[in-house]
Amino acid sequence: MSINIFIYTKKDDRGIKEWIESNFDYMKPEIEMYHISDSVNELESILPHFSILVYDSNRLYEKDLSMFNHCRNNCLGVLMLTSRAVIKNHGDDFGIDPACIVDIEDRHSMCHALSRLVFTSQETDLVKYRQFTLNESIFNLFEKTGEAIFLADDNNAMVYMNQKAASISEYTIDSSIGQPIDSILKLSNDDMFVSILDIINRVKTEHINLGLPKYTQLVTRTSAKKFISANVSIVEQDQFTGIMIILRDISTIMKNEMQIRMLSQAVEHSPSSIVITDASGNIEYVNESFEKMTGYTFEEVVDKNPRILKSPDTHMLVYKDLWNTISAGRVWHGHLKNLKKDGTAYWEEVSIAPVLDEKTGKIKNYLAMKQDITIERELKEAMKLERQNLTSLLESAPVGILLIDKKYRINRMNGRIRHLFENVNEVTKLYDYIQNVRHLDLPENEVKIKGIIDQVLKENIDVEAEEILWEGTNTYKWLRINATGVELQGDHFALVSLDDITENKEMEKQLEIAMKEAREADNAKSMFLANMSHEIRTPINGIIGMTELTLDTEGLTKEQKENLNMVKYSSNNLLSIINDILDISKIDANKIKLENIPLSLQELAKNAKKAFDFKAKEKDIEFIVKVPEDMPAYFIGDPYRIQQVLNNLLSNAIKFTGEGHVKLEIYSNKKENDVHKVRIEVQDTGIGISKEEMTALFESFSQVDSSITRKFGGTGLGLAITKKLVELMGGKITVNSQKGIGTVFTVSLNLNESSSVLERVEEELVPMLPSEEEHIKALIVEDDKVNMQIAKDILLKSGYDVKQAFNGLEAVEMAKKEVFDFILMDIQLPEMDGITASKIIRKHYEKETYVPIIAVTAYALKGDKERFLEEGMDEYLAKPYNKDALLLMLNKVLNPDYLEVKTIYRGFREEQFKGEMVEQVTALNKMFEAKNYTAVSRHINKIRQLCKAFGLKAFGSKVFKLQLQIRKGNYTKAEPILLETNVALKEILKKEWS
Amino acid sequence: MKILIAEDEMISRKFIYKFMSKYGDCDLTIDGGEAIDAYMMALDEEEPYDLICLDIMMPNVDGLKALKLIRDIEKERGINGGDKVKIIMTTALSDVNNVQTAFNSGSEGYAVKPINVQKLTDVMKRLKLIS
Repeated sequence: MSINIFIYTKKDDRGIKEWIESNFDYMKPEIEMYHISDSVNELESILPHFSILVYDSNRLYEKDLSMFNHCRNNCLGVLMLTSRAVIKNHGDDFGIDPACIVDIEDRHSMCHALSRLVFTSQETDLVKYRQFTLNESIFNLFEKTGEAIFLADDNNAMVYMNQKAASISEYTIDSSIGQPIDSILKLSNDDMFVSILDIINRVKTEHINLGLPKYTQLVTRTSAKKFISANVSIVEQDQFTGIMIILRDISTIMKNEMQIRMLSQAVEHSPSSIVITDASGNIEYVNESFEKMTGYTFEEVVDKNPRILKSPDTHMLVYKDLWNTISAGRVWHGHLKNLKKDGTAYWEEVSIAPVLDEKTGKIKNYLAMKQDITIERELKEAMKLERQNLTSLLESAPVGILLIDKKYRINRMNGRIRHLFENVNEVTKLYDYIQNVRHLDLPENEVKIKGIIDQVLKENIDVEAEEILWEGTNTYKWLRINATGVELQGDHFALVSLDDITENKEMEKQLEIAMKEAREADNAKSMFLANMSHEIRTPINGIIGMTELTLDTEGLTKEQKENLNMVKYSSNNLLSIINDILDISKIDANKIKLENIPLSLQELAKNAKKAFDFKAKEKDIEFIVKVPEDMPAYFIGDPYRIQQVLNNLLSNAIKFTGEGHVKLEIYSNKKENDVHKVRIEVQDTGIGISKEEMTALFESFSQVDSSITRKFGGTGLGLAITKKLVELMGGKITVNSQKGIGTVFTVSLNLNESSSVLERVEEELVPMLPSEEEHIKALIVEDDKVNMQIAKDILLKSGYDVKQAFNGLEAVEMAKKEVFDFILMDIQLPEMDGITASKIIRKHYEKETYVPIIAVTAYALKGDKERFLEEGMDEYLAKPYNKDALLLMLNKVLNPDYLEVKTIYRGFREEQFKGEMVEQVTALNKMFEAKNYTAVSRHINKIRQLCKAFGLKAFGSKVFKLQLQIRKGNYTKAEPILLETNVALKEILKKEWS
Repeated sequence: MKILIAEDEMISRKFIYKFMSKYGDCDLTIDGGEAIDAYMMALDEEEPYDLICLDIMMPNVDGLKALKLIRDIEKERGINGGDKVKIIMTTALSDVNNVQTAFNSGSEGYAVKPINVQKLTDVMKRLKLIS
């Protein structure tokens, strides 16, 4: 059987040829390819030689269609391969069997269509099959049987099929007769095409009956797939030789089988370990998980009892309960500790269910499902332990912990809290109890704890506070409170820690007191030091001064001079020692304050040169001072301390140098900005210092060799002071020395350059003004309206309260109505003059606070002022005065000291004053005669006080002159002054004081 | 030359008095208040002082206050330049604040105690009161 196929294609990229060759190789087809673009004429000439045309065209153009029809007329069979869309839209246009138009993608249909064409190309007479009839008895048998029966002739054309066959294949009997059998029986297995013709051929060639491979499916006319089993055999009856296919739909059986297969797979691969035993408990089945879990293979456990897994740790009663439950037909759940094959223990969660026989209801099997829960159990165990740990940590934390919820309820607390508040025996009362916490400075009703919790819960602010908890009227605890918000299982809580810090607070308090006392003691000490420095230096001062003066007098003997020089030398020594001691104590007590003022290094060097030149000359040592001239003129620093450093170093250098020279050299290097690195070098050719001696060099009260003290003198404090001063100034001092050769001391300081020499600022006196609360009441007495306005403006703007009077009488009336703090009194006034008015007012104010009265007048004659003051005015101001003069005057007269003195003497009536004055002057004369000048001085002081109080300036001056002469011991000059005084007193006494 | 000395401490006062007596007629006062009184009196009598030695630590009115007052009075009365009285401050206080204040208030000389003949002579020379 051979066939030639002609493929007419547009493109040979679909592998059609290969596909036909491989699927129809049993037919050994001759295949020819022809491209649509090739010559049509040639095509026409070759077409009749082919039996089948496969027309492959994705799209159908008109040209294609006519070509197709042309081909069709010349071929036995035509198969059109095209796209699904073409079939759908043009399938009817071709006038051929729809089965011959196939979607190129649907290889299955293509195969059937092609095999059908192959068949029809060989045998076209269908009538022949319709005439095929079965023997009646066989027909009846076939029709009644439950199987589907197909009969095909020797050319595999369908000649018979029964009703069952029609229903299973979904083809009608009529349409199927004469058709190739493989166009009805389309088979597939696992979606692979299976050719029924292959099987038929084998049956024919090998003379055997064949079935179908397992899971073969029949693809019905509607493309439904049905699992089938079949038997294909040769039948020979009468003249008919053909094939009989008996076919059965086994879909239901297959479905069940597959379900069972799925279930058994599920059991086999289940992550749970599954064991099935028989009724007596012997293992029939275990799955993979079981093998993995226990380490036993199925072979090792089959027919054995599961108790091979039993661990000695599991109590017998557990097994007893298990068996009792399941043998009674109930399901048992539980945890078992078992042993693996290798002996390691594991925990499993087990469910064992009895399986009952459907018919007898007796237990047939036991099914056990087990899960390894070793890790979970361990985890749970660990968590339990962790929780216990946390609980005991919380419980025994050394700080009180409270957890308070949104409704201010205490949710949790620890042991420390119970201990802190052991007097509170109920948790519910504790919250109210701790409400007694008060801030030290807040009113009693302030509820502090609630505030803290609100802050934490509502404002989300962490709180840190130290508060007092009042436990009684006089008992309290200091608590440190820390609070923060926490979220536990979705709820907000305030986590509050309370710490009793009462002891700390008490200690703090005591510490503060101690500190205060220490500071006070320290202050007292430094005050003492300051006083000492004055008190000690003053008498030495006297000794030195007097000695020098005496040395200057003539007629001293040589011995006296020598002695006095010794006194001078010793006193100077004593002074320098005391200065050293005071300095070092001040430095040690941190009482030294460094200045930051402009200083000139040239000047400091010059001072040093002046101070030590003489000493150097005395010892016949060369003293060299070198300061570069291009050095900045001024630096900022403490000139006195730098001078002290220079002097100390130079004094040492000269002291320890026997011959040679002492050199002071100053260098400066600009560093950055205005900072200069200043180096001061003091070099000598003295006795030098050995390395061993150097270590103690800068220590207080040490001289390198104690014998030196005797030889060279000094306290040994000089270098210690120098070093401390240099370090205070942020500098460094170093020494370089060689015994017997000399020593160099180097001081390094960082000093800022000063941009300008300090300007001397003249300080202006600024009047002080009354504050707003003071309300100082002024009375201005002035008849000139312009002047009144000026005075009023000045005082009002300066903050004084002002009343005005335009004549003396008015002033007196006003003063009687209210008390003023001061009065500005014009002297020339209508109605009553200023002096008279002042006297009346003063009398009226006798018992009030003293009221200063300032005389204001345009008389600027000499002596006016004195006159007014003698008349009882307190001060005098000449018109025109400026604002500051007036305000400064007010500062003076409103000063409490001023008023106090005035008040003391106010009580002095004129008579008393005169009496006192006479008494004092008489005593003065008496004492003068008695030459008791100390007493004279005392009386003069008394008289001067009286004069000041009553404005008797001229008389006061007279007695002061007397005083000055008495002081000088110039008594001959004093005598006439005393006489003048006596005359002046008589004048005063004569005067009318109205 | 008219010299005013203000010093509360007796020995120092005597020393300065003795030293200064060589150069002129001295008046002695024992505190700042007296010094001002004496200064004013001399001004009023038109026989002003040429030199005032002021101690800083004195009762009632201290030397710095007195210095300032004297300069204020001079300003008020229009006394300028060479007519102004020369003022030397004397004190045991060597702290710089006082020195600075003294210079700012217009003192010409400064002698730190212990005052000796040399120091006073130096200051006098510097003020060109002696040569």
